[in-house]
Amino acid sequence: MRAVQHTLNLAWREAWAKRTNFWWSIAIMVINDLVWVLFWVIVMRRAGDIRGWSTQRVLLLQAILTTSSGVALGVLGSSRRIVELVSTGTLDSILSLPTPTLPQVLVRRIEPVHLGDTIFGVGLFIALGGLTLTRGGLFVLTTLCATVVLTSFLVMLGSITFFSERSEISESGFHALLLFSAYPIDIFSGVLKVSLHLIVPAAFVTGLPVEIVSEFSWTTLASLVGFTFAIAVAATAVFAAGLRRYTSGAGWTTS
Amino acid sequence: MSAQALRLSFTTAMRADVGFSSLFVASSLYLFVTTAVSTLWSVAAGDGSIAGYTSTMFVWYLATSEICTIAIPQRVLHVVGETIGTGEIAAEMLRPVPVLPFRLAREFGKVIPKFAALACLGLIYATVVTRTIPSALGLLLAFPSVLLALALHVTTIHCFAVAAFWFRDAGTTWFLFQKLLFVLGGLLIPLQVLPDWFERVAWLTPFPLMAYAPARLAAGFVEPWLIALQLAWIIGMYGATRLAFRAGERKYMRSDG
Repeated sequence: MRAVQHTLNLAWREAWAKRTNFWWSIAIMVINDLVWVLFWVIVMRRAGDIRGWSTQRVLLLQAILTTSSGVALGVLGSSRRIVELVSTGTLDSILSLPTPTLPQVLVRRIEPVHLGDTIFGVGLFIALGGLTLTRGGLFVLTTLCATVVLTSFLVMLGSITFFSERSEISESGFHALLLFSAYPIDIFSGVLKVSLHLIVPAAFVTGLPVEIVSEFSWTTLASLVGFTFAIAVAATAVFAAGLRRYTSGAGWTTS
Repeated sequence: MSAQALRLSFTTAMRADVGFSSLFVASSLYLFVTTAVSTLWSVAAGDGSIAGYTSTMFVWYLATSEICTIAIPQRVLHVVGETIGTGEIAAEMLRPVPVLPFRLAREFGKVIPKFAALACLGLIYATVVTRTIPSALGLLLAFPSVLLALALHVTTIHCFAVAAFWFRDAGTTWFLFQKLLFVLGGLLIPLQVLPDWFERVAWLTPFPLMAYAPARLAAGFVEPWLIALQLAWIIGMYGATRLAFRAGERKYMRSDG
């Protein structure tokens, strides 16, 4: 684990070295998130409550989503680059290190632009008011779960590259998860709602976390923690199975 | 010679972009966004309407407005800006064809395959979901209007990218462009839903004609003047971009040439 921590430190130093770019990227993302908040305020003002979702609840959803996606894409962002690492053969250099491969892959690079999401999400949560120790603790816990679900799903999508040359599904799956997570789960119904629990786990990124923070129940918390654990184990297993099939994609070995 | 070169640039780019990968990603993204946003507005409108839009109209509106943005290659403004900022543009200036029309023909050529795929998908999606067409005439007018919206979009992107002749980095302008299109272009919110003062500001810019205009037509509001306004803005925007490009080229030749 020390090697992984060292890699994370280096990634942080690299991002921090370009100080102006670092803060500029964060500022850009904060403005982007503000535009989304404006969108939701306009929608909710026009529509009133939507299937039990008030403005306050929708903004809590945005706070959880931006915070968790900020960590998943900003700190563990290389989960989105597995396709690239495999297809270009960059994975070879990581495999030669005496450290566990998956954690090493995940912390290779820090993307400051997504850290802007995290800063915004935490700020929005505080701005929503009603901050107590319990509520704050639940926010941290559910956000952590959402981060693990997001990262695990991206690792599973990226690992498809080990088994198939078609990588488009990885990009599409990423779009689907982030998009559907940004909307209240209860506006969807039928097959789509079931899919958002079972196929694209958007319900576990924002739906359940919002429910836990606003109306806590042990059953919902147990469902979220259980699913988080299951998807993390599944992602690790799929990645490991993929690695066993991996043959370098580097140009000098495939020609 | 020049017309032939432009036609060649257009058709080559069009053929080059017909790939399973790019069409699959664009189509799936289109379906996800349209499903999510149109479901939201449909649920919000319920059996009534919001700002004159029923749930059926919202579905057709969003199925059309999303074509206007997803058909445009992502980060194209960034790429155009980089071409200028890194000096690659110098090679294009050596061609016996004016740079701007050549680039516009190429970028528009890239847009056409995605437009065709997304238009088919949008038609199927909106018909299946709503089982009705708000106005056949409106829908008929929406087709040329989407093409004009895409042409205006591509031209305006180049107008923004010209900043790279002076600042060497169009990344910031790309971000600004995206947000302006989102807020002022009526991409996810019809302009009538916005506060009045906001709508008035939006009409001072070309952004409503890049998404709102065709979407409004497809939603069943037969307002042909929107197409006339699109044509006027394309001519105006092309003229302005051409002037800006010439100024940029002169500046480039003085400092780098």
